[in-house]
Amino acid sequence: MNITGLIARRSLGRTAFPAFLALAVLNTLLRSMTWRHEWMWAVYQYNFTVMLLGPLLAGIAGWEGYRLAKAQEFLLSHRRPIALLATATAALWAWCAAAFLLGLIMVGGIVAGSGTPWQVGVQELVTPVPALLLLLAECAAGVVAGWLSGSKLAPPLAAITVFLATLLLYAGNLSAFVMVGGATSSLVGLAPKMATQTWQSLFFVLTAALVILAGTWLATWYRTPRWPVMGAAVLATAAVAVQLATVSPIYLERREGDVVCHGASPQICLGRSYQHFEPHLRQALSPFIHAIDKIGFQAPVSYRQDAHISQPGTAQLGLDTVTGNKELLADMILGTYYGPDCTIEPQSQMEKNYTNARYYLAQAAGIPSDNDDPTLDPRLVRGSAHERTMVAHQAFAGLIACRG
Amino acid sequence: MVPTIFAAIVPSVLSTAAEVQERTAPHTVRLRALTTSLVLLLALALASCGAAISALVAYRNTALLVGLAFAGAWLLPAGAAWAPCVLTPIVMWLVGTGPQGRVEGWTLLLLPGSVTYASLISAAVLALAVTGYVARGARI
Repeated sequence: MNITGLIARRSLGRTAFPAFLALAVLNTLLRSMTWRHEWMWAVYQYNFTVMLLGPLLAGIAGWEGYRLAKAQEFLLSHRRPIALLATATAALWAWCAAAFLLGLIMVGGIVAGSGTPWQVGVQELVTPVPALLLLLAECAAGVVAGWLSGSKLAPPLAAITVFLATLLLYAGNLSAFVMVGGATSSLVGLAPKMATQTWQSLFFVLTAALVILAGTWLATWYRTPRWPVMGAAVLATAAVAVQLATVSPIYLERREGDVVCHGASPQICLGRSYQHFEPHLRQALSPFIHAIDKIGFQAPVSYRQDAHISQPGTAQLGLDTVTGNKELLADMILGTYYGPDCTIEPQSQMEKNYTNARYYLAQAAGIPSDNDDPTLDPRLVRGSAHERTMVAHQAFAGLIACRG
Repeated sequence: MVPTIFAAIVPSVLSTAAEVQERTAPHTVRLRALTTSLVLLLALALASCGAAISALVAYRNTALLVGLAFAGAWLLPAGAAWAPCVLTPIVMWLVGTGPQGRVEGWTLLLLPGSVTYASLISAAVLALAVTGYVARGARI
């Protein structure tokens, strides 16, 4: 009888596949999809699904191990315990990985369906690898926990342990051991560090191998594998763990060529996958620039999606402004004049300056505004063209003065 | 997390109470009712320990999680019976929370005690699951 073939065919993974898939799909659909204009962000954020899949997989793996433990004497009589545990782990992981990849294809469909140009390179393709291998390590741990304990409590406890361990590592200084994805803001101009991903992948594979070896070793009273093999596995895993523990906690690095600039007056610099917004954005900016020029100030000359902060002459484009939302564009432009350190207190002159300047820009861009705002200078609403220009000029000068 | 760990072992307890000797006992329903009473008493004691922060939330969450454990034992195969009570808090916490501590309406375990429907649903889940288990037993 081919025991390993039988274990592979009767893997619990086939039964659990719909649950894996449902979890991956729900985690995508129930969350905000702000990543839908960036391939790298979408892939990296999707990797966070392992936080949900990991505990479920470890729990099911625990039950698989428990099933195997019930037939331990018979299975060990075939003297291929490593192949046995490895097959059980690989079969279960393969089903989970299939669900993960189907979910990833769905994410790709959402990104493509949002009109994002196809820009998938090697970095996007390898980014899911550490996530998949983390699942492999968790699966091996679950199988071996069930196999060694032979207890029905192994599945829930494996699931809870994996969740808590992931959570604690995520929040602590050793996040490199579990941090395979998840980003709450745009990754324009950034990409995960390949070196860190490589060390993580190596660590997860070695951990899975070590756990399976340990499971076999303990179940067979140290006969298989032999001591040197076990020692070598421990040393290799420990060495990679030390390397991983010392990597920088910053997991992203600058991605050259990911931001492309267009034009000179103004210059608009967007992530590669946002390029199609450029004409619309330039058109949306035009009335603001014209209005600011008209009152004798210079509008920002550069609009950058990779800017860290808005500063004089350079506006930081966010996810909402890049799509040409006029209200937010007005706020963004004003931010380049007064800066982040200036506070707008209620009833202050700064509040009046801000209200007047914003009203002036809103009128220029055709944004509906509140004419009855008590802080608004009435000359902006009912005054002559000269008075409107003068009030707007004073307002902008006040904003600049606040920057200091 | 403590009610989750407690609820996670409940399906194993219930399936132990449904093994061969128990299934051939003359009064299986009585045995299941006794098991249920013991589990619920322990759950009540556990919830009381956590009541220092918010009594209602402790009782509500324990009721929901233990209800899910009973439902898992009643409706799902033994290998998956633990999943509802273990995965529900994980999903609610990871998927149902937003910036500034905002929680979605469906994250029953995370809502404040003043939200009536969360308590009602938790009580209904517990009552239904316990009734189902006592009447039909655990799936083996």
